[in-house]
Amino acid sequence: MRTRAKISDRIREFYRNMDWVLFAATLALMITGGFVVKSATAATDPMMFNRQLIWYAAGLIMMFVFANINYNHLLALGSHLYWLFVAILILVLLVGHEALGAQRWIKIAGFQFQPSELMKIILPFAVIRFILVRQKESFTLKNIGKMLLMVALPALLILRQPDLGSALLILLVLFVIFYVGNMPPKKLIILVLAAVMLMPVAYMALKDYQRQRLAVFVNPQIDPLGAGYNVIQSQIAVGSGGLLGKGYMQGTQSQLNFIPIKYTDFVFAVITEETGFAGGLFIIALYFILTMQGLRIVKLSRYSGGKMAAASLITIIFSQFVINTGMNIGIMPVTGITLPLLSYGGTSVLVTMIAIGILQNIYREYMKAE
Amino acid sequence: MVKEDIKENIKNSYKRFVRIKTLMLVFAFVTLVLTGRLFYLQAVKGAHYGRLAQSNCISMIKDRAPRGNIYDRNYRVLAANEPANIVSIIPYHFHQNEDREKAVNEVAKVLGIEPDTVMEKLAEKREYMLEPVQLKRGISVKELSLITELSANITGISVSVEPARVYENGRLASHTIGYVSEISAARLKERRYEKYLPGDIIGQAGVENYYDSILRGEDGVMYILTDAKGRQLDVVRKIESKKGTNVVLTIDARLQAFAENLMERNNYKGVILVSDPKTGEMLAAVSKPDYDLTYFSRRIDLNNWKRLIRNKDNPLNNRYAQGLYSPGSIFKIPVGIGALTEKVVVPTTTFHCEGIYWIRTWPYKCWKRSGHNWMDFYRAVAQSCDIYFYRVGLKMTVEALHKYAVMFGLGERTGIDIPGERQGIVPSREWKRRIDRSPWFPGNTVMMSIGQGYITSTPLQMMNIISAMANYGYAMQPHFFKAATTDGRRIIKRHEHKKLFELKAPKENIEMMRKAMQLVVHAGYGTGGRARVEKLSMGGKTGTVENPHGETHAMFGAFAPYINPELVVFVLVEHGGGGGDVAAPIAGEIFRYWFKVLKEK
Repeated sequence: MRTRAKISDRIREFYRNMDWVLFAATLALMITGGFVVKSATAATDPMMFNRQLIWYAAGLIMMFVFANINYNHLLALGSHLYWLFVAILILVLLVGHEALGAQRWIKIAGFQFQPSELMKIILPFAVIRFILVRQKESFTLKNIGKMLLMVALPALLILRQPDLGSALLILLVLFVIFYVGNMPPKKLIILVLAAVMLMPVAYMALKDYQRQRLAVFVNPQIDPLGAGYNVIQSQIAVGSGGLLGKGYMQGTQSQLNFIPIKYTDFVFAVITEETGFAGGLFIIALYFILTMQGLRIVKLSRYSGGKMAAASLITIIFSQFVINTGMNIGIMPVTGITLPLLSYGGTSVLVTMIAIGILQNIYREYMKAE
Repeated sequence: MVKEDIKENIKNSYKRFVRIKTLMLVFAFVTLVLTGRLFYLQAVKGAHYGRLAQSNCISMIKDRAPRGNIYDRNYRVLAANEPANIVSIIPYHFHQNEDREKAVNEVAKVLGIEPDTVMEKLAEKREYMLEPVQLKRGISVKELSLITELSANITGISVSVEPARVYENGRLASHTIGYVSEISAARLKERRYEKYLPGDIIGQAGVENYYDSILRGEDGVMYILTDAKGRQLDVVRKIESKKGTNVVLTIDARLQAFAENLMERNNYKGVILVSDPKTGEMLAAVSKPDYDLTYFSRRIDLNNWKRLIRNKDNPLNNRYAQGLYSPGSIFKIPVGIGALTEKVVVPTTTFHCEGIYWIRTWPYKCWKRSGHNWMDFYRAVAQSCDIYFYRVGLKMTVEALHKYAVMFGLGERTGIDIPGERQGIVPSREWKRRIDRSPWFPGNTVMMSIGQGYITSTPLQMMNIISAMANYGYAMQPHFFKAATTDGRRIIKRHEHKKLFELKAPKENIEMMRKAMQLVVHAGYGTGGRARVEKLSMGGKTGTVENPHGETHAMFGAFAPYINPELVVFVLVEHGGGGGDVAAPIAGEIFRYWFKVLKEK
């Protein structure tokens, strides 16, 4: 009897002090994702749905695993992982697998794997470690320069793949880390101004198709059957959904393949076409709960490292959500950013679940300390 | 030191707290923007995008209804249908084609049309994205095989079969039947055609145009669910096409052919009208030159079309309804009735004809230069003495001439069921002041009293003058429509005969004029003697109309038999010469054919 009780205690230890609201929102998104992926892949390949379910299961396990690894260890490992993944990113560029016009995948043990996704977590951790080590000297000019270099290296590698969205996302996360890390306001403002001034330069460095995407973002009608096609068709899909949608699996735009890459980039258009404004609002609400819960963890965490880590993780999830839905409804340019937990794809699900797992851990460490 | 540190820590923590709160607000605001945009797209613009989504995935295929047949009064086919191959393109696929120009050029070359016309068709706006646009109808077998070959390489070409109009009888009654073609952009804008769509086939002239709404039937539609690659998945809705109603005309094809032959034999330009005065049914209506309807069968050959338009003789002009001629001596019938009714003359009143009549210093000649000597009413009509009518006209004054012209239906459309009919002119003092800004002179009255000068009329109106005489004082509205029938010859709708005008003149005056008209044909001195048919008593009137373009127009109008007439014939030969010499024999032939050949059978 005693040993049995002990085992149950141990299992309880495994999930004690979890943020159950955050968990519920995560689970709800996953269930929604299951329905969505089923609908979005029905006409393409029904096996994709099964695969996605496996990814969800693996993601849940990963969440629990990371919820039980003290995030401080991860922070400590930050710079090692950073160099490892820089190396992998270079490898991707050399031998990576090309799909949908971008070289983002690498095959590990038969699974396609997207290292830039994981880099989204690792890079902030390396930066946070850097700040934690330097303490008060973190935001001297020299150190800021070092951190920018630290970010620039993987960002450029990702940009080469090319994956403009992820590169910009990393810059945004860096900004949030600085912001939560109490960077002096003057320096923050200068940083933002510098970024704005660099925009035209960055535009010059863009590839033709990327510039085209920006151009059709401003006016999709300049090329309705070419670059503007995605933008127009996804907006038609969303708009035609109306208030209550055309019914699950009944969307004409999605089921008849008028929406391109509908199970990853334009999955939001599929949902809103089939379930209407009601469904769209439901999903936005889930993400909003997730985000606010994450920001609550930022607020609660007693340690600078925990705050910054939690802030970077929730920013990653939230900004991916905004960029993806934004491009589905025509207020963001088209990039390859997926909708966390709703888009089809293993790496995305795993990375998101790892991020949520770490968030849970930060919460649990706070609860333990209380 | 420690105290300082703690103070700083607290300060830092507070700063962080504020920053995190701000971050929350920013994130909440961004979420709100997303929600707002989603609301705008789905709730505000939902209907708009719904339509766009539908036009994406639903393509519409027309199932053209066959037009109703057109028959003559004995159910001989004048116009029918035959399946024809039609080449269409689907603009959407062409827009997606990277080598669009090359594809367009190849298609244009095979079909023998300009690449620019194809480009224009591609640019047309259609409701459904995948709706085919017709390029060419009735392609040949060779073109069909070439285009089928092409469609293997170029997506978006479709060949379909649709009923097309065929006219088997060549030139027979072409002006009356009319022809069909695709509706023009200009017509689409008219209110009468607001229910028509681009690409629709419409009757362009004659009965085909006038009865288009009856003949055309209802096109069927098939809405087909199509995916993004253009594969057809399912028929969403199907509306069967309904064949148009058949129209039976009053035309007798045998008589029509006979009459046309009379004109063609001598290469005459002009008009022959044959009708039944009691009902107004048109038994034959010839307008020469005309066009060969085989040009319009299945499709219109562009070269033939251009030749028709450029022809100086204007074969597309329907002379019997649209041609305006001076009525000439035919007008002496209304003038004569008017003179008797207004009591300007009595039948025994005589005038002397010296060949020239002077109004002050202006000479007005009779057609017979040597003069007719003493003329009473009967002789004046029978010999068509101009000077008799000059003097009668002058006594009547313009006002009375105008009154009787209008009483006989001049200056007003007969309302025949043929589009584009003209009304002609009946001049008056006011009319001349308005148009010419000059007063009415006695000379004008003189010219008008023999149907020359300003007065113009269509052959149909002139025929009605004869009809009114045939009917002892009234004319029926001429018409071509006999009945609308189903394929099983069940009659859906019959024509209701309508009186067009009735003369307000005493019966005895009309009887006197009829008598005079009988003399025109049967008296030895009459001008229309050459119309005589053995054992047939008839009444007629010749007309020889001066015109500035050359030789006189020959006219002859007649009814027969004299008692209880069954047939009215009006013949007009442009620049043919004398009415009695040229037109009267033609009318005679028609009477003979009708009474001795067709009726004897």
